[in-house]
This record gives sequence, structure tokens and C-alpha cells, in this order.
Amino acid sequence: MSLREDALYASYCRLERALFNVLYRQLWQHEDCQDVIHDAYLRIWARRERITPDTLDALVWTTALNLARNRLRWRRLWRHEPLDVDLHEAPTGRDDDFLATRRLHDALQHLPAAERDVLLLSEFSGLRGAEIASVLGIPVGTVASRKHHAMTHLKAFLGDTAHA
Amino acid sequence: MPDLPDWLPELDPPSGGLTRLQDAVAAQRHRRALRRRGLAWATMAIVPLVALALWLLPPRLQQQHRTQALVAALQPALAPPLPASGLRVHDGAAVALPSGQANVRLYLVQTVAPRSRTPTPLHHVTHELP
Repeated sequence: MSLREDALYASYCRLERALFNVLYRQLWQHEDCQDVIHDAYLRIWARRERITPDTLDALVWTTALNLARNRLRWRRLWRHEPLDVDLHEAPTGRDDDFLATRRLHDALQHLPAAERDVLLLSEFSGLRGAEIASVLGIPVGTVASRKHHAMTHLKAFLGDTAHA
Repeated sequence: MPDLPDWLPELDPPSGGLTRLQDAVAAQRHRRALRRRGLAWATMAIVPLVALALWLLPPRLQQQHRTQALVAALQPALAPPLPASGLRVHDGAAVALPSGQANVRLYLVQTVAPRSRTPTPLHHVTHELP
């Protein structure tokens, strides 16, 4: 049974916000995030004959995360750092909000990629531990331990920078 | 120290993502339809072309074979030169024609160029008897 077009669009509407929030904390560029989400859905659409609706969402997550990793690798390879990191998420636009966002950006950049993926997925994706494990291809127990380590590292880093 | 939700507020994705995806899928579908239609036209065009070739080729081949057979049959009949006259004709033939004078023999000579197989113009060769 192949994937239908309306199922693809329904999945897009369902996951767009969560995907954007997870990918944004990795790429820190609105346009890049939108491109990655778009490309992930197009790749899935190209393989629609072999995809069933019940595996669609997990596949979207896996594809989007892989594409984001590729993009980060490409940036590292070419030493490409975007000049204008879009730190627009400060809701009030106050200076202390901007600084907090900047600190969070640095802290997440310092986290190992595996821990960052688990932390962001558990925070934004709405997936359960077993589903996150399936998306990332790791055991369920590892999800919990990585999340715990990620939180510890994040708090340590943010605590250090807050005191600095 | 703030909790994680304070650090990671939920953001709204930029608008227009779904429309962009729908446009891209529609464009893909359009390209695929064009490709399929092109393939169908090519398939439909091949059939009359093959039929035309089958209709045109055999008569030409048959004609060519007939010409070759005729040339092959005529060559041995006409090729040997007339031994008594001392006349030698390469890649062609000579036929003695009636002559009005007693000391003049008249021949009709036709030669064929070996590569082009195009007959040379007719020549009248006269050979005076000793």
C-alpha cells in the first residue's frame, strides 16, 4: 500500500511545528529549517510506493534529522557559519532574553549531537521514549540516559555562563 | 535557574511551508505526466515507422538483387574478349558491329568501373586489320 497525497499533507500539518522547533535548535536558521523539512517530505514522497501511513511520521523524523546532520556536516566541512544566526526566539525582545537565547545556543552547540537529538526530540516531538529510540535507532534505555546526561550538561553549561 | 521549557520556548514555523510542498508535489506530478505522455507518443510513432520501413525496404532490396543478378548473368556472356581481334576489354565487354568497309572492324565496348559499378559511356573502338 503506497502513501497517499492527503496523508502526506496531513503529516506535514501535524509535524511541521515540532520539526521546526527541533531543527531550529540545531541549525539556528529559519530558512534552513524550512528547507530541511521540505526536502524530507519530498524524499518521502519520492519513495511513497514503499511507505505506509503508520510508519510515515517516524520516517519523517529520521529523514529530517539525517538531512539536518548532513547540513551541519557540510557547514563544518566548508567552515561555513551563517553570519546572521536567527536568534528571534526571544519573545519580548528584551536584551536579557536575547542573551539567554545566545547562551542556550552556545550550550546546545556544545552538547554532543546524540544527546542534543534526544533532548530536543523528547522536548518538542511529542514522541514517547520507545518512539524516539526507534527514530534514532538506539535502545530505549539509552534514550533516558542520554536525556539525563544532556540535561546535566546543559544545566552545568548554562550555570557556568550565568555565573561568568 | 530556569527550567527547560523556559530555555526552549516553542516557536512558530514560517508560513507557506505546506503550500510550497503542495506546489512541489504538483510540479513533480506534472513532470511525470509529461514524461509518460512523451513515452506514449514515441511508442505510437515507432509502429508506423516500422510499418513504413517494412513497406519501403523489400521492393528496393528486390530491385537491387535483380540488378545484381542481371549484371552477374551478363558479365560472363559478354566479358570474354574477341580472341581473333587481339582486343582486350577490362571490366566490360565488346561486341562486334557490322562494318561497311572490308578492312575496318567495328566494336561496341562497354566497361564497368570496379568500385562505383557505374557503366562508362559507350565507346566505339575501331581496330584496323593488318
